[in-house]
Amino acid sequence: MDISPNEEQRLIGDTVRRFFDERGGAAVLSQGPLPSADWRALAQMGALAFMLAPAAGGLGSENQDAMIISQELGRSLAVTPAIEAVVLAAALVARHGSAAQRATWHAPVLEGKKTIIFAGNAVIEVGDDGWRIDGSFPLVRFGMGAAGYLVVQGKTAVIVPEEAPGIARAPVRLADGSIAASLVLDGVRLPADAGFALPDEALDDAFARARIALAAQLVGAMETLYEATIDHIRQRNQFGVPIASFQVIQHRAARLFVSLEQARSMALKAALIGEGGAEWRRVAMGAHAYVAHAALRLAQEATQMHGGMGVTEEHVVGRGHRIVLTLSQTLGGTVAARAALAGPSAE
Amino acid sequence: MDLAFTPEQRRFQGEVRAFLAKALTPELRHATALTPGVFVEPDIGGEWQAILERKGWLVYHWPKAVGGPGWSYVKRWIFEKELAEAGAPALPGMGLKLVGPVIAAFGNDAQKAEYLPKLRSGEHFWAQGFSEPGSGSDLASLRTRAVRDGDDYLVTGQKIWTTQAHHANHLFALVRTDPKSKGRHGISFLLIDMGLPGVTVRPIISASGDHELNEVFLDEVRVPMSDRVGDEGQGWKIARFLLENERGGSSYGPALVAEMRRLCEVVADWGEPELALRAARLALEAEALEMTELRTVLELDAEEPASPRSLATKLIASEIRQGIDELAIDLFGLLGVQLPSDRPFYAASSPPLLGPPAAQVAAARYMNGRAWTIFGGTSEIQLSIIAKVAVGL
Repeated sequence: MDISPNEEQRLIGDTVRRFFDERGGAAVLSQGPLPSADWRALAQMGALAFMLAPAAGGLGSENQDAMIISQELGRSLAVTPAIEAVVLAAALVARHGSAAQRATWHAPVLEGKKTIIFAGNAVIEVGDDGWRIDGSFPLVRFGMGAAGYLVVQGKTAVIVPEEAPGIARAPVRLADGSIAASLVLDGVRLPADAGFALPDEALDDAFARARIALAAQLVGAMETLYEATIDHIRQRNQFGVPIASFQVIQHRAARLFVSLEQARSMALKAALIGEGGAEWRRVAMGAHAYVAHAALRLAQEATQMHGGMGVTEEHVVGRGHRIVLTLSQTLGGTVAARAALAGPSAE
Repeated sequence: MDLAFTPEQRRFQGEVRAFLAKALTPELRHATALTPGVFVEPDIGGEWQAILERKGWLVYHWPKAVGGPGWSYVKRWIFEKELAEAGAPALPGMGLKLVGPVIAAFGNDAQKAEYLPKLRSGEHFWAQGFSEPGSGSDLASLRTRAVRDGDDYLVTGQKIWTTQAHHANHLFALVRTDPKSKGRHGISFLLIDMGLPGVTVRPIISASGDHELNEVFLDEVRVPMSDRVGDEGQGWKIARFLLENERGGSSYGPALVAEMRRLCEVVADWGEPELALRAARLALEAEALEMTELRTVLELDAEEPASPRSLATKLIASEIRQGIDELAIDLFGLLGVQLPSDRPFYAASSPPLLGPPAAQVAAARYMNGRAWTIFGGTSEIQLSIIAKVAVGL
């Protein structure tokens, strides 16, 4: 058993951290979605490729490198489609799609040139001339900037290019500043080669990997908010003393430490246990449920302990809170994850 | 990075399981399940202690110099995890986990020779004399005094919350040997034979109906100076070592994970959606704690300094414990608040309890469990320590 990153993993983490620090770190990156030029630069560094295992056309180990990179994404509070586009959608294409589909929808995504986003379940009919897709997706995160969407029904997946006739989409701005798409697919027709078969558990496994990355990203965000809060309470003086000298503040700060360590443990466990199978998926779901909940609580505490500054647009804590708020609801959200763990009686 | 066991670790895990399958009898398991508190009665604990000592696994955490097997921290963790999952009784901890390591670290050769073997054999049963009526969280303010008289100390004072002192024949105590001192200076660590004249034990019945706690009155008890461990005035340092030993390399997680697994099944049977969600949340907290502890275990084996996160484990465990207790109450309703006065619950003479095992002990465990956030450092003290040492405030 070994939970220390090796030399290469440390290097990857440091490189990504430096990349974001050079662009102003959390204070700057939390202000809105990562500019495309930076997304491409991140990709050119190999960061996106390292988020995927070789079986998914990547360069990283299963889940561990995704964890390390996601954690740095979280620390920087950068708003990017790394999980939706890379870990979820592009990986599904890489693992199960044709060579032609990979050439169009995997390689360019890892190069940061375009994104494909998983939209969800659609009504997919197959005919002699190809596919007919109907579906309505109220909120597809990062959907407005996407070049394509992945829809599924049962064991069939279809890639829907954004320019296909029959697509209507409207922008919806989310709390983290990203632009989601309200998407309607109305009788969209696509040639047969737009689809591919999904083996059993492929979608569940893909979501498990996405949850693992998300948990790591949330831990990174928690770190940043925690560190900002501890700095603040040390420096902020009231009544002639730092507010960090008040016992209530000390105890609440102690609880933040505890919460961060527990969240880190869950994210780490999910990324390190052997992939595959129901127990692994349960651990991934558990890490998602746990960390998303803990992160939002910590963000609330961070805001509270910053006093008035914690509720401003200008301060990184307020923006970080909004980012954590958004992340806590992605991939179904913490409540859905917990309900899934609780079993049939809770649904 | 990986969380897989090595072949040797897997083999050891199998060996422990095979041992437990034979040695952990249904009677021992049943008695443990029906014991509301942390510590089982001495007949149960003593039997289990003898079984482990015969196997050579009793003092698995002691230094090699005093008979420990030299296991890595991971191996100890695997051992503790298997015992917890199997529902094994807790071992009499005061001797094995507290005063034993103290004597090993600070005692002289005569003390090691006199006390350690009898601790292992069960001939000596230890109670911890630390807290006093006026000195709980502020232990350093203790007032039990030890006055020199020839080659002895005359010890006078009162200890309180002494777990199982009514079963014990030996007491390790913090006493003030420097009458002019206040606070942590001038305190010494004594080993007191409870059969000596002047020792009186009075029971304290807990709100759970259990008799675990006691007051111990010491009235000019003549304790040989040779039963002082370490130097005069070194008592506080020894106490710190003991308390850190109590905390370092903890393994609260596995037992809580195992308990939640069982409780989740009961909850699923009863089909209460709100309780299922609460149970899921508690199960996750327990799983996180187990991993948090494992991270420290791996650090210790890598000879890295233990992270300050190890300061948090008792706090986390105590709150999970109380969450579980309250969940059981909410689950079973009135069935969960049965509380017969006979103890132990598993004795043949005690009236039968109603409902599934978790319901039978729900009220007793709930009331007993309120002490978890109070003993071994209250949660408030834990938070202050974490803030100071871990957060750095």
